[in-house]
Amino acid sequence: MLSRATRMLAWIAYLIPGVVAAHEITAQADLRAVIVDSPLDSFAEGGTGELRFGGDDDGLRLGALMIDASGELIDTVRYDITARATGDGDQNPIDLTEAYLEWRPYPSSVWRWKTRAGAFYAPISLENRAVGWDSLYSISPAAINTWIGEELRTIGVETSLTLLGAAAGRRFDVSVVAAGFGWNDPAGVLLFQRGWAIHDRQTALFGELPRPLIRNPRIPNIEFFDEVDHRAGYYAGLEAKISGRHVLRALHYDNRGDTNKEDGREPTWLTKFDALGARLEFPHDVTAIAQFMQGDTAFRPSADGRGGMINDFDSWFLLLSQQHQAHRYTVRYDRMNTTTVRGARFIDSHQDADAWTVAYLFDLSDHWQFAAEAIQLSGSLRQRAVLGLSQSATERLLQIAARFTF
Amino acid sequence: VAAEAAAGKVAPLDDPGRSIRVDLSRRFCGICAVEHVRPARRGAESAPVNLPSHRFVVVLLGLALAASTARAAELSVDVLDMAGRPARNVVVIATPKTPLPAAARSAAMVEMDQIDRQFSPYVLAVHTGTRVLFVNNDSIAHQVYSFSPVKRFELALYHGTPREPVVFDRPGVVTIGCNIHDNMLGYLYVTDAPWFGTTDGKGHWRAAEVPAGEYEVQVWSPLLPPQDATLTQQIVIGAAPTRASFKLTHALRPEPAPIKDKRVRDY
Repeated sequence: MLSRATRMLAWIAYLIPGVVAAHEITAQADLRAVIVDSPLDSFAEGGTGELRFGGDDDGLRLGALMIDASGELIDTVRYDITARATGDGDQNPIDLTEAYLEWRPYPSSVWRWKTRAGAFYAPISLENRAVGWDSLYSISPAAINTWIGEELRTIGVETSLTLLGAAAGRRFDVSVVAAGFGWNDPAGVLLFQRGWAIHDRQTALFGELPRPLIRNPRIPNIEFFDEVDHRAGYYAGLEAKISGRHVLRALHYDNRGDTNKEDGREPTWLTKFDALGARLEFPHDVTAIAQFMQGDTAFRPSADGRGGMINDFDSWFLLLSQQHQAHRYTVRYDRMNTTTVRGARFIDSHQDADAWTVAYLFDLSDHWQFAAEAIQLSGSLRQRAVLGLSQSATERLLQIAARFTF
Repeated sequence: VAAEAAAGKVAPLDDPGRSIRVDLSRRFCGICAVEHVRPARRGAESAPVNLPSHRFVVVLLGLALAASTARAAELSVDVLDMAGRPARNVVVIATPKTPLPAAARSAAMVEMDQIDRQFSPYVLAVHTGTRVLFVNNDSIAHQVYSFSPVKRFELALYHGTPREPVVFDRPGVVTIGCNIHDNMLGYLYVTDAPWFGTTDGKGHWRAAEVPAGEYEVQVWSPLLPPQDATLTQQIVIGAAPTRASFKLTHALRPEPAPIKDKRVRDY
């Protein structure tokens, strides 16, 4: 796995200077001072804690090292590659989170067509707008977008058609987007075992995480981006931009997993959901974001093909943020639920939790940003009983980040 | 600059409505010194005055004086939105009813910048034939294009100043975009009119030394519904500064906002 990632990075490093006419490289180092008040170990260490840092993680931590390169290969074909290091003992010390080519032919009318191929994020999050798919509004994105960063990646082709309404004197830009993808069959395993979480750790393409409910060291970690059933998934969505400011999104996702196929490191998970979102811009640089996601994930063979175990999940959040000169203030409320609706006698996966996040970001210069964020996540996770832990817990995290970008 | 150059080269018509009320169907053109025949105008200024014949020479003298001292005047235009607030970035053009002798124009070059992932100015009015340089002031590259029938062009990805300006050789509206950043939107209003420009932050536009005469003044904004984007007034310019004011009849859509936060990457 290491050699695959290393070979790919080496190939990219070789490619960039020779071919690329105009390219931009951004690198960011994010160092954190972390204070935790939690009875749980973080999921990142194999616990059932739903924040990135758990009970004994106080101190200085690496938030992330991130390198992003983007630019032009030929006139209308661009590339974008992002690599991250999270410093928590993942499979590769630094690994890709996104790598794709994008073809943007010049529009010859008010219709804009663009196509991406490679590995990238589906257009769901309205928070993760910054370079490296970081949130613009806080350190940690909401539960919905955290899960996208953990378990979802489009490894395939996405195409979108946009009616450039603004160019035609209208208030709306309207887009339809559709994608076909593979290598996302394990999607849902972490949501099933640990429930929703809130953090900024993105799973790398060749990255892994420990299994929250299994203590047997001989069972390997979760590998997220793998093809097991050799059946492509898809998503299709709509987006409207109003006056170039407000954004509305709806997307249906279905990885079309065949739950009868279990011969990979992970069984195939059949994961489907609908995602809705709105980002509204108000006077005085106030932004409001709301997203909602509802779906189900299933695994194990069943006669009806829907899966032997089925877990429903839903989450929503409301975020308010204000930019005032170099300062940004954000408050967000997250609601998180999962319920096992079939097969609960084997493992009853049930989460009922909510979270408050407040964040303050300060841009000292073009290179330095300071961020402070406090999260309180509380609720129950029935799976913790398997490990003899109390189902209910309240996790609190205060993290202060110094980010240097060049 | 173009407007002033034109104004300097084109002699203004006298304005009998403000100076001497004689037969308004005939005018002298100060530059070609021939009489231009045009229809009489209606209204108070066209009311003829019967002058005693023995004072005709005096009148002619006065006319000559008026023509030499008040051949042109300032034209200023104010544009207000529906709520009465100043409307900026509104194109104003003034076209004389009687064609003026074409002024020799040097092929002007103007710039439309890209700042904070937006075009600046948002709307630029240029005379037909103007060369426009799309200068990129951002640290990131842009790929400027237009699919407007008036002028289709594509500038391959670039930083800083592009190699070549784009010549806008046909009148009309050209919508400008960036192929990388779909939020970027700008407009070029290419016109044959000798006086043109856009309103400032106070909704104001002015042109100095506009020759006296009858004009059609039009205002246009891309932020109005396309079918109602142009408003027209007929005005008469005389010796004194002339003001025209427009109140828009439809709400303006908001201008596309620049993206100042360099971290933003979702285009």
